[in-house]
Amino acid sequence: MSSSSQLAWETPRWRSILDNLQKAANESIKAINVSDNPVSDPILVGQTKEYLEKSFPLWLSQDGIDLYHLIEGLSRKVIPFSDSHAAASESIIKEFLPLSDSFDVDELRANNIEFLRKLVFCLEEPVDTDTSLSDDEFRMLERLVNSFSDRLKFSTARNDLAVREDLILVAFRKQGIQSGSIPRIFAKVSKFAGLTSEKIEFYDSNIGRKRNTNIYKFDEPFEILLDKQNLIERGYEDTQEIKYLSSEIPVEVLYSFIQGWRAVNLEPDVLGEYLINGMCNILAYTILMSLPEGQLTAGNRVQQSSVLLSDAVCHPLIIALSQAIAFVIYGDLWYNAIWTSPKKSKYHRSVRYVIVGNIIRIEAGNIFLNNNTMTNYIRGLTVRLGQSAGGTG
Amino acid sequence: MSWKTDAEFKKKQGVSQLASLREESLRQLRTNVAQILDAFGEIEPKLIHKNINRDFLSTFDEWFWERNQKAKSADSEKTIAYINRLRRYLRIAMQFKTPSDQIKRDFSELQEFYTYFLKLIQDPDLELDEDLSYVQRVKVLEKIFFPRIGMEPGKGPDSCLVYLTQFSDLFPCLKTILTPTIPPVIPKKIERKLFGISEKIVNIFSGITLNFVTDPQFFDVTQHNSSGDENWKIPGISYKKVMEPFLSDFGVSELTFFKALCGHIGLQIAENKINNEEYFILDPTFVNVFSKIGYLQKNIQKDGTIIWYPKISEETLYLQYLALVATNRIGVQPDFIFWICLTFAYNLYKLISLEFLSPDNIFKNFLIDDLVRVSVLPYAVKSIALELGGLEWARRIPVEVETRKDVLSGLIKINICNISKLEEQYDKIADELWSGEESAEEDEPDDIEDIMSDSRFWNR
Repeated sequence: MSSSSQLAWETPRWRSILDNLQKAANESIKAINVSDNPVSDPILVGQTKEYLEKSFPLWLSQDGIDLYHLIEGLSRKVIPFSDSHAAASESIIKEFLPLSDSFDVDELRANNIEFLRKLVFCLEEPVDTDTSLSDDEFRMLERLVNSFSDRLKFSTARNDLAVREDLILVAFRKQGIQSGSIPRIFAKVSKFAGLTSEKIEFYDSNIGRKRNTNIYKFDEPFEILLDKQNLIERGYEDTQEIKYLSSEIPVEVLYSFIQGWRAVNLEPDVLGEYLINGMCNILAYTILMSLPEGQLTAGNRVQQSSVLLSDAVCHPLIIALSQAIAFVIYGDLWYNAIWTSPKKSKYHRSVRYVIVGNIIRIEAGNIFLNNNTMTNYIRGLTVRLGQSAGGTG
Repeated sequence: MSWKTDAEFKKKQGVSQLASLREESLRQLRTNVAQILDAFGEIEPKLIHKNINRDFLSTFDEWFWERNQKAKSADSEKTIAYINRLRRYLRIAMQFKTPSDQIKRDFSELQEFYTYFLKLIQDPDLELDEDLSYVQRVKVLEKIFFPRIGMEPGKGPDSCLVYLTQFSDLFPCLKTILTPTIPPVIPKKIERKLFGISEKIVNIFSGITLNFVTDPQFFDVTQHNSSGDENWKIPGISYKKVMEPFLSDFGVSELTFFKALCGHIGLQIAENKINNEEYFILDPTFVNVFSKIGYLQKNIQKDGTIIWYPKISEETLYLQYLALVATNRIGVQPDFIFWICLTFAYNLYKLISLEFLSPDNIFKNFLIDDLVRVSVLPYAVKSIALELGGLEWARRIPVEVETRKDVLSGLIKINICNISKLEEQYDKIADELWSGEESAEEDEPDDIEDIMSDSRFWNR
């Protein structure tokens, strides 16, 4: 950042991003002209083309302030401004999992959980690094966290919310899982759920002498957060007050913890390029699919043209949009982390498949926009903008 | 002993084995449900004739911790654990300021449900209060999720697929059956086994579906018919485009399984030597079925060639695989059997509970509480396996319930099934079964010509 007084949308970098977006839109228009998919609806194709030619450049005019605010509002939902891990997790929980009085299965809530899940796992890093989280490692984290609801895993000498590592490992051994690397994985993944570890010495009656082990416990702000979710129970055991988790932590809350950790550790050296690209790509696809007006069908569903998701059409736009999103979230540091080389383009393409059943639904060869907090935000914004434009003009 | 009596003897032996296995499988489940009912029985006298407020909760807490000190045996410890869970929901109800009467009503509803459930599994064949028995209920669910139609003589996965498409609005439920949360470990020799689908293959399925919608290419095929040759244009997509991001993660045996899977669900992998490109192309032998259920749309050009436009949906590929699994039950791999039966148990448990619990019941989450579901669902699996796959499945199912508990937590995680839609279909089929209309059901026999023209019929 050259000077603190300069606004982000007045920097030369943002101008070059806008230029790139315009170039990408032109490329997409060319690709639409060339495409010869006989299945796609010609009316929708015409609409999409008109959108890219006329409406989309409007977003880029006037230094693209509107686009900047749109991206900022959207990205702050998944990467909120906050100084601590717990606060970030809490605001994500508020955004995606609102507490409702009715116990009904809410469709929107289910869609939101699916979006969070895809966001957490969209691009899995092929190399085992400090911040990557594979499927297996996530299951380990689940086991670790859920052992807090089992009093037997607690150290008998302590009365706070803490589990002893060796007691958890016993359960793994009983199930015939090789436990060699489990402590290493625990040490790696525990930070995502706000756990801290501590070395203690205790008397092991089996071998008749003292030995060392780790205990895991929640940070204080996380304890408060869990208490708000009705998950912490207090009771008595031999007249001693004890604390434990009353039930296992719902998986969506765990996703929010992980995403919260990412939101406060934004440095590219910490996060890694895979995660940055994955998150920006998913946000870019959300914008790309929900920004065009589309066609309203029965049941208030929005149908989008299939040509917009065609590989040749969407690929340049997605990269340009990802760069814009990365810049808005964390300036040049993230902007430089977005891959543009054709060799890495396969990762961008794999995210295109992840959005099926999440941001969009496919029914009988038609593409419909799915309802979740993110798409609803953009739809609401564009409708409001359209109304205000209609009012003035 | 003649061959006839021998066969009869074997049949009788099978029947007796079936009965004893069923008894054995349900024994532990009965004990567990009875323990849950014990917990209800202990709390009930405390709740009646009392106004439930904060004072009540504190006296209840005192009683609970006293009771906790007395618990000595393993059985009573379990009961106290259930009481503890109920205590939690009482406290949450207090926080939501639920009126005292409603708490009592909800509590008795839940108690009624477990009493009824215990009666159901006491005698799985008994029809209670003019309603379906346990076995009949499993049969009803089987008609929705896992139809037997493909196993009838002269029919195959294709007719099963045609049947399954009427339930396509239950897609999330159907998908859950095929995607175990713990991905299968695929051995070196796959031996035509059917495995569950891992997250990676789910992504590839999405990729195939999306590419059929956005970037289809068309390939010329000559079809030989009785009326003469026809020129077809059949849709296909680039293999490289779909598979490129995933190829580096594939193990050898996993890729073999995936290719076999593609063959089963009507996707050929073809190579073009000139461009040096590979394609997924729709198998021409599947075209008839797909056009029947609307996945392909016929378009006749002026020169007489027929173009098949893909009208693929998200669920298409899953339904095809489900039809295959439901037909070839012998080929299903043990871990996958366990998963299928577990999803059945979960859905059945939920459906029966819907009959008793009002939608705003505060104890609703007690049903799928980690402790409760662990003591109910895995123990129902074996009896369901007996109904679905007979002795064959019941013998091959993994026995140790303890080791399967983590599979269970995943079930709740990905279950985004719309239970009210399922209930509609369930009620419809249950009514049919109850009024005995199944015999009068108009079964449309497949045209014999259709079967004869299917080249796969001749290749068998």
